[in-house]
Amino acid sequence: MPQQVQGDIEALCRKFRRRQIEGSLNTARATAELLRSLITRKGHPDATSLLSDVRIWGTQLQAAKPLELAVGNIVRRVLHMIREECQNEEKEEVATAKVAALSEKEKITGLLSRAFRQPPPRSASLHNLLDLQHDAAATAVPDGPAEQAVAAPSQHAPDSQDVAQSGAQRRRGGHWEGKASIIDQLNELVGELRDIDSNIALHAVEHIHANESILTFGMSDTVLAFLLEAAKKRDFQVVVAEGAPRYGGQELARKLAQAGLHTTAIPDAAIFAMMARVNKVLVGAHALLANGGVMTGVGSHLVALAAKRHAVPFVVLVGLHKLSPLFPHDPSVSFNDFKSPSDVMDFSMVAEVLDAEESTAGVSGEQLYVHAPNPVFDYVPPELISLFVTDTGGYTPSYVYRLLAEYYSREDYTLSKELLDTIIR
Amino acid sequence: MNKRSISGYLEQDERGDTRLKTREKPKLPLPQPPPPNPLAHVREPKVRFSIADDNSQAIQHSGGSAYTVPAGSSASEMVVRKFHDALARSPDTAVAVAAIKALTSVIERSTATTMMGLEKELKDAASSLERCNETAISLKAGCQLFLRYITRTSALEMENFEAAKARIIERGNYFAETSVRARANIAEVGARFIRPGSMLLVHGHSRVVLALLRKAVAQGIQFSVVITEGRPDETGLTMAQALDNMRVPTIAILDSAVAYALEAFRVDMVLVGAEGVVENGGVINKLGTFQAALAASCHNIPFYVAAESYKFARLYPLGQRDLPIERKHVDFGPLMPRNTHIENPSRDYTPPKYISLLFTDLGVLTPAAVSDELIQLYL
Repeated sequence: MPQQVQGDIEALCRKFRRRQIEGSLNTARATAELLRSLITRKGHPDATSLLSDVRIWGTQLQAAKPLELAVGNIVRRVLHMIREECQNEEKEEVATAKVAALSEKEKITGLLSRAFRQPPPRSASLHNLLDLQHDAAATAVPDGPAEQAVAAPSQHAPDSQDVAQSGAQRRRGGHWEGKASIIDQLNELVGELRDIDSNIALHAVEHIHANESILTFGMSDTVLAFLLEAAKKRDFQVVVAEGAPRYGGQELARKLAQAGLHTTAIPDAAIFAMMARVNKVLVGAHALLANGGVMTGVGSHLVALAAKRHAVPFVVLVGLHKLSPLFPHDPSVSFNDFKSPSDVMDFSMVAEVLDAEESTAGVSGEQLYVHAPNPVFDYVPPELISLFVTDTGGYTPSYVYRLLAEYYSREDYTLSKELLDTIIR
Repeated sequence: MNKRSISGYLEQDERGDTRLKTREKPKLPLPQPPPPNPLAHVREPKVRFSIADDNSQAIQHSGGSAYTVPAGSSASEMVVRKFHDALARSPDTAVAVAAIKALTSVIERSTATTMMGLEKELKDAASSLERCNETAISLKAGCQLFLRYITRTSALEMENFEAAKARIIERGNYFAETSVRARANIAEVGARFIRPGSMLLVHGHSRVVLALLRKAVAQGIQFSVVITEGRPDETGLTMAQALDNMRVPTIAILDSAVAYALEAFRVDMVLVGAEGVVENGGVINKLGTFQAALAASCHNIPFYVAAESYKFARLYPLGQRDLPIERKHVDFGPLMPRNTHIENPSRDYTPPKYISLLFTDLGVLTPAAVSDELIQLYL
């Protein structure tokens, strides 16, 4: 069984490395499905062992595709589910113990007031500053990333603090009982990922009004679905910038025109000129980062700046599987990918340059180089973004921290110190 | 009526009623500050005020007490003495920690038999503590946090007064460790923002910032620091000394050279500590922080603040005038004309829009998240 589990992980990692699975949605889906099958198959005596397993699996998967933050996001979400389930169990147990301990009279009087007495949430907050730190020390467990980092060089397992951390664990017949609920939630997550574009598109009519012109950049399935949904109810124009050097915009323009939308394709160089005439900019994103900035197709930063100059709202369509708790300058965000330079510069031209290089190299002793970098992503800072439209609604960049608190646990923000080190070095 | 005295802020009292609280005037031994136009007061003595100031720096505590000891009842004297003892014990003690220690000692000696009685005693003690230095924001924030904690505990555990009291004492005594822990946490989250080979600008001395930089050094990240002199108390030089001990390449500049340095030395980020973090996510810190933030925002350089969460204060300053009034002596030398009026505020307020992120022990927060934390605590 363990070999099989490891084999499945390896198989997916291989697919990731070979780029057989591309795009954040596909990788997220593959990750969620694999985790679901692994969690279902492998037996776990308690939540702690499940947590550490998921963490190790997730680290391996993320290491296979460090650029795709969605992998880590899904893993963190699963970890968060497990932690929540654990907490719920603890809470229930405490509640039942309390009710049992109460005398008959107290049972009658205090029920309503007890209902409002929720134990404080576990994540660090100003209002449990004193409690939280105390509890952490009382169990004499090195808690928090600080000690973790200090101990990191000699640490045998990244999850040693986890083992002690999740406190009360129950062992009932060798299987953790909360698992069924985790699998249910994972099923939900997989379903959510399947419908994510259509869920984002549901908000289309709220954001696109009649007779507006919308500018978009490059190709994004999310944007396509969004525009097509809006076109069912509204009549509007779309201006598509081609998105050199991959020209995804041309493909998008063709698809929109086929669907009967009023479409204008423009070269990237005309974006600034067109900006004054549009009502809104809509783009997709590769990842939504913790400060509210996004990683998105190269060239989008220019679009965002042009939009700012003309005070045109810059709206980013992003599924919440792309929400990452990492900051753009975090060492574990390996930010950019580079594609073949042939998109930028034709190989025949490169050959000419190389020839020239050869002939002059002997003369000047210096080498002539033409660098033709072809990056894939741009970073757009939060101050240029007006709104995120996600599958659960619209949020401003300043609200992203709340979303993070909702979907992830702080302990999981850094998946693994080791992974981090392998990426930095 | 003095213009400053009408600038007030809404404060919610214990019963949940909202009232407009006008700012109390500081009880100073000398006359009120003049109206903004200095020409109207030609006959001002050169040095008008010299009340001591805290500035939440370690260096000040070592040499003589920075806080005035008010004459009052024995109970209030006691709490103030405890506060000073705690501060004097170690130069690394934060003001809020000392305040909470002092308040805990009040509970220990309290004869109250009900939560209400205990709260009342504490409130009196806290106000006498705050009277030591009306302008210290971190002191105020620490007292507020602890009082709020008591209120919450009494709401949660009404069953047994003695148990609740013991719990509070335990937590209070533990708070010093909390503060050390908080600093370590901040160092961890903040150090990740320092990229290898980057150039930082640091303003003034701050223990948190120092801990953060130390952490980065320990992680093997190489970076350089531009440090401001930090007039008039030259706290920047203390910082420079600490950085020198860590063998971090450091450039010291005049406070007035911040804007120049940001461009000339290709600074990648500005990092400051804070004396207090206010409700809208802005910070109150050593004078010159605001102009550093303005300059950084003009150059599109990220401006980061490192602060422990117990410095979050329930203040909502709208501008520099809303800060507690406080003046310190500054010597401009014999060339200073007699009739020229000197202003030497020791801190300023930096509005949230100039702050990129705050590194706190609660995580890396946007200024908006600070309000969220405070609302969660006090609502």
